[in-house]
Amino acid sequence: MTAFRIELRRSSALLLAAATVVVGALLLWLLADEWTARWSGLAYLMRALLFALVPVALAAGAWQGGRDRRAGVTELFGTVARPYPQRLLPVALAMAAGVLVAYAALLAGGSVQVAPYASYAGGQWPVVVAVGAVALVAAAWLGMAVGRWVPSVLTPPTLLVFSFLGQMLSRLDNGVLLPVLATPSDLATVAPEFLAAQGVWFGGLAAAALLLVASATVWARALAAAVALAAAGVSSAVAPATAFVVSTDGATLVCADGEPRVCAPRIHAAVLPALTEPAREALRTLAPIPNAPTRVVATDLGWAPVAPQRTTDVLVVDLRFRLNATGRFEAAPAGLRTILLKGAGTQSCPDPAWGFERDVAADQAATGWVTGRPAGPATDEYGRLGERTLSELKALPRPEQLARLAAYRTAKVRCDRDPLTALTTGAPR
Amino acid sequence: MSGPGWARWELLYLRAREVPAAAALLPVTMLAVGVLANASAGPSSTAPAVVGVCAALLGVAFVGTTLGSADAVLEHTAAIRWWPRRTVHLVAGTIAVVLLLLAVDLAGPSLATTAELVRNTLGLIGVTALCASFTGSRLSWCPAAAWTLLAVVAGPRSSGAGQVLSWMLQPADARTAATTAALLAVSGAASYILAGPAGLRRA
Repeated sequence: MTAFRIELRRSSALLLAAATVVVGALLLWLLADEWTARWSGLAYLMRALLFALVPVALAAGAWQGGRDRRAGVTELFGTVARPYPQRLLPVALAMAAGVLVAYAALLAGGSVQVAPYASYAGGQWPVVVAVGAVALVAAAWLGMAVGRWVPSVLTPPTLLVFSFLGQMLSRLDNGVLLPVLATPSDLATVAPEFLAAQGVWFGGLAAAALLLVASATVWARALAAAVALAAAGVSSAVAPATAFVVSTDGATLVCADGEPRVCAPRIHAAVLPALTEPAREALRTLAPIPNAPTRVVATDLGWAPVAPQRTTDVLVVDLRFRLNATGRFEAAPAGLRTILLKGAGTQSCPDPAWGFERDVAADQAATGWVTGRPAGPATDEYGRLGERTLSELKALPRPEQLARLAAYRTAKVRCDRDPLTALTTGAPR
Repeated sequence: MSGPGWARWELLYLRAREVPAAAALLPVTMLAVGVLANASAGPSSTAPAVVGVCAALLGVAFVGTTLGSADAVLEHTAAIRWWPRRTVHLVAGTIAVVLLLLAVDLAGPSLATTAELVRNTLGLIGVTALCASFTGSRLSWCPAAAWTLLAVVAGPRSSGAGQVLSWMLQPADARTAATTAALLAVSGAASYILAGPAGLRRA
């Protein structure tokens, strides 16, 4: 214990902790838009920090690992009547303690931005962060092993740059062997088997690196290589093909009291109080249209597995890029109404065969009809086309107008027909 | 001066700063960066600009480790005009890094425009030289590395403060980024050339 305390001060553990906290805290602050108000958001950001923190840990480890040989004191220390592994263990533990305390401090700092606002505490986010912490320890120890092997002052910057570039250039999207774990959606959660495989890999790597650091014989080094290879093999074999699955808890819809129903995923339940009233007002506005929506669902449209079925019954609100640091809508109620009524409560079709321009013009006309405002900026071609379509539509008798809008909504939901044609000619006969 | 005495002084200066190792390994590592970037080049790969910045950081870090000797305090006591020597050292190191970057850029995948490569090298060497004059040379590359990691992971920003923060990722014609790099280069070079490397302790 005394040796551990001495090494905490003597080794590069404090340097490592300071660098980790500074770089990590600045990144948490710079990327605040992407994680606030959700525990899982913070957890995956803690893993994204590893882009920078793993290179830092490797470099600091390499600096520590090469110190004795650079200073020319290995012979002196060799005279100590203790076996080599016993002398190195306190150093390795001090480095691990430094990086772990720093990572925990970052988590604590980040939770200040989450705890007051998170509407959903469940999920396995602590495990996601814990695996990241193991990866950091493995990086620090691996750096020590490399530094002991090549004790040059050039080793730390070389390791830093190449590990960083390697991660940035890696084409393995969410590979099981990579420290960084990027979530495709707020409603996704990492598969438990994937997380377990990562735990096996980084745990094995840390053990192998520690063996390398403390090794005094060729056999110990061979054993370390075998452990690392076995860990890599086992985790690659057991890892599922897709890292992320739908979060059954977080993606479950919770609805505001009363009718018509206005729902949001549990992880985003904080949007409901502000959403409910504008959403019901939008439903009332759309009600005259024959196939008007009867309920509102807020979700993340960016990830196919959670995309809601396309139906005219549901008005879907995309939550992406629309929430602020407290997990609520950035837009004021008036802005929310505009979002809800866009395209008479429809979503765009992916990759329309008739081109986005006709989609945009039709959307502007339909939006203009519903909101009673001009169709849009009539400065470009689509704006003028939308404006013309809207004035033609308004010249028709009202039942025909509503029928045209219903045809347009059907076309938008099915994505089998040009919505502008639907708006100008009505339902196919 | 001429003759073996002159050459010996030069050699001792370079050896005291471990320049031979850095000079020998820098082209090798730069080549490795080029190979890495080439192997992963593709439509979905990271922007080449990031590779360019990382390569510049690597070169600057190597130069940074050579900015001081094992005992800077002892050197300060020598009755030698240090500032011309430090100037030559810093300028030669910067030119070497820029030339290697251009070589990688020409031979392998295009990393960035020449102006961007020069700006990034100058700015990063400025940060490194500034740090060397305050905390010594051996870890003088750390602030430049931290800044680069931050900028690349957080991504380029377009706001005023964001441009200053991510200056090394801005396009060549970004005025704020160029000014930031120039300020860093001038202050770092001035501080290092006038004050020399700090000599706190051996690591």
